[in-house]
Amino acid sequence: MSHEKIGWDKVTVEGTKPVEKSEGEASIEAKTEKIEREIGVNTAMLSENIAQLPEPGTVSVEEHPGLREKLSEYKESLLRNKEFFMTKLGLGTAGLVGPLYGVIASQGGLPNMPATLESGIGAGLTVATVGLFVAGLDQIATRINVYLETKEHKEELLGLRKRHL
Amino acid sequence: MTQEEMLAKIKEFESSLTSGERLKWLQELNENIKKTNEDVKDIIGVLQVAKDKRETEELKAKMKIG
Repeated sequence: MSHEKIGWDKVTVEGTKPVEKSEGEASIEAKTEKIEREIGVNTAMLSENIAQLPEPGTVSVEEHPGLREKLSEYKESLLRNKEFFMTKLGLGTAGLVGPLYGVIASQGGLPNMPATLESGIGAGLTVATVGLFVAGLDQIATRINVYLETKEHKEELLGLRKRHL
Repeated sequence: MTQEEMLAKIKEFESSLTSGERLKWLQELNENIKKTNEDVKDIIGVLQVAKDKRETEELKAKMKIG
């Protein structure tokens, strides 16, 4: 007597229907996969853009009217954005950059992140992306701070500190 | 908050979402990353103009000395 191996796809139980995804579920899944790929590309692009920011010391905000205000506006917007995501994830907003970089490292580290994201790793994707994204926002805001930190600005800050003492 | 606590919080957030909610969240995140990319490109543009002006001024000054 010969035994034919039957694959799972051929096994049916009488009275039950094979589990199939509804059209809605399949559509959500397809859209999610597409957006995960897009996020991978856009996050990798963000890292590349950050790398293109001019080196500190090559730009003087004092020499260009309105540049300080413009950079300050961008910085405020980036920090608001960072706060929004941190709050949404229930992380609070203060003193989190250190652990955040640790989280990124635990997910494969910054250099491997775009590749990790491209592959779409499901539940880990948000962890990796949010980590990288929020750290990116922080990195840009910190760099803007360096551009803004001129002699006059430091004196202004010292003046403020003196008044508070 | 420690690194482990932070990781757990993010994972907890992710697993609390239904597939529809997760899609919405990822779309929101993606839009935000795209907007940030535009902002960073703007910042680079603004700074590049300032950098170019500075370099031109420095070159002019050098030529005057020469």
